[in-house]
Amino acid sequence: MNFKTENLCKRFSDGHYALRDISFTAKEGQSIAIIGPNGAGKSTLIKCLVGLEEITSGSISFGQVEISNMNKKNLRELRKNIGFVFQNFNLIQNLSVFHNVLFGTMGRKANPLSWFPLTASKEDRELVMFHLDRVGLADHAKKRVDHLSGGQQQRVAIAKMLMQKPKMIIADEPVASLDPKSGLEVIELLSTISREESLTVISILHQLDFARNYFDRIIGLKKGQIEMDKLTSNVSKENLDLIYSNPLEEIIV
Amino acid sequence: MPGRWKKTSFSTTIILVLVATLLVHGLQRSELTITRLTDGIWRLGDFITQAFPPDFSRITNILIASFETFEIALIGTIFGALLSVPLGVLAARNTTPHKSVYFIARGIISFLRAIPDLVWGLIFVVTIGLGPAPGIFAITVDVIGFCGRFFAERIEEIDSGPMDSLKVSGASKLAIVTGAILPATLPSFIATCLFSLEQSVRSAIILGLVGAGGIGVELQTSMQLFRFKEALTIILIIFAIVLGVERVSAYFRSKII
Ligand SMILES: Nc1ncnc2c1ncn2[C@@H]1O[C@H](COP(=O)(O)OP(=O)(O)OP(=O)(O)O)[C@@H](O)[C@H]1O
Ligand SMILES: [Mg+2]
Repeated sequence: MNFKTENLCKRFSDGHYALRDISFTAKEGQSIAIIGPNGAGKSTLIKCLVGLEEITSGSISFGQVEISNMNKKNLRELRKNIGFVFQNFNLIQNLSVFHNVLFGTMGRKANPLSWFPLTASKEDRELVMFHLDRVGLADHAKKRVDHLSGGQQQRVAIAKMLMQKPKMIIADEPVASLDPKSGLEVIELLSTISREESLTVISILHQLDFARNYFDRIIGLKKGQIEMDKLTSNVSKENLDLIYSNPLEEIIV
Repeated sequence: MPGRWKKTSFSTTIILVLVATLLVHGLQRSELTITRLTDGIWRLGDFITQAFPPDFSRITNILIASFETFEIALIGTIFGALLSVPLGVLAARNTTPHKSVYFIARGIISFLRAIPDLVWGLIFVVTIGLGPAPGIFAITVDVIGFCGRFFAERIEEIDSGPMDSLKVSGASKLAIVTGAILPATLPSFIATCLFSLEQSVRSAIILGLVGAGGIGVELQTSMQLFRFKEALTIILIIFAIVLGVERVSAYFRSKII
């Protein structure tokens, strides 16, 4: 799915602008890393993309449809196509890996019977195992989620997200709470999935080496504005330094 | 520091004076004298000597009635707990569809809880007549007052992550309740229901005294007819039921948590 934002602004009720004039177009199958210092507005931007935050002005469109005109029902339809990966996995700790992954169908399937391992269709149960195999956790299907490591939990969350059959993946710091090795595994996994299914991926990252090695394009946000938007091959060290330069220093200058 | 000490000591004095006044007034009103107290203890001795040995001749009827009491408690608790789930969802800040719904749901729960179970029993006996039905209703209402509030508070405590996760995947309200709220809260919901069942068994016994079915009715009758030997049997059986339910409930609660 390709999508586009135009002059997107977000002002919170306290009057503070978290985003100003954000315009960019994501091509189908492109992987974009969003980087920037704390408080730059990265999370706010992706919340706006899925309608968790209302935008103040500008527009966001997926394919031909603009989301600001969407009613609740259409917004739900749109969300079904977007797989969201969170920093802290958001799994149900006291349920099995299998059950958590099955919950990924809840958007697509309205029938409550399809939400439980015992009553789900054979097809869905096979799909759960297919995706668990894909993230390398087929052997752990019966374990409780709280018996897994952080890296494994994030892979479960990815398998769950894949149950949606998403057309696009959005992630907010998917590896921020993982050790470097597990983080690398998760980023490689996301990258492989996006390549194999030519899914658009937008991910917030704090690890610049991951951004450079695994993403097609890097967008740097700073104080709510796009400071840099380049194909990864064109990104220089100076570009990155500018994004992370201390904002206080600039005020003094 | 001294100023603060003085302040506390002032308000403490007021509270102490108030409590003391109420105590003196209450004792005067109830005409609680030493002679009445000693008389009472005497008569308790009388009651016990007359009640021994317990009379088991009507044991079948008594057992049937106590089974009825248990059923009243169980059915009432199940109804009440089931109704408390949707009400709890509406009465929790993070899941209510609208602020006004929140206030209405909280209002209903507070109202049901504010009126004691015995009063509900009387109301239902008057409105639907004697027997187990008013007992079940009274217990149901009482359980909603207890579980509804507890469920709502438990839901407010849960981590919003899993709910957000389902919401952004386009899941329905029902799906969010099933997939995020219930799994996180079910263990403590069940523990609350078991605890509630213990209370309901005690309530159901008392409710019999106002005619809402079960063993309470039997106890009331034997007391009024001065059949103390039979009353003792009933009291022993009540003791066994309450203790049994408490034990079983405590066992399951320890398994869950
Ligand atoms: N609900 C809100 N109300 C008011 N201000 C908010 C709200 N949410 C975020 N902000 C502000 O908007 C700005 C951007 O926040 P955001 O969470 O998008 O930053 P971020 O780039 O994701 O930072 P981090 O790297 O720390 O996650 C911050 O200044 C933050 O304080
Ligand atoms: Mg953030």
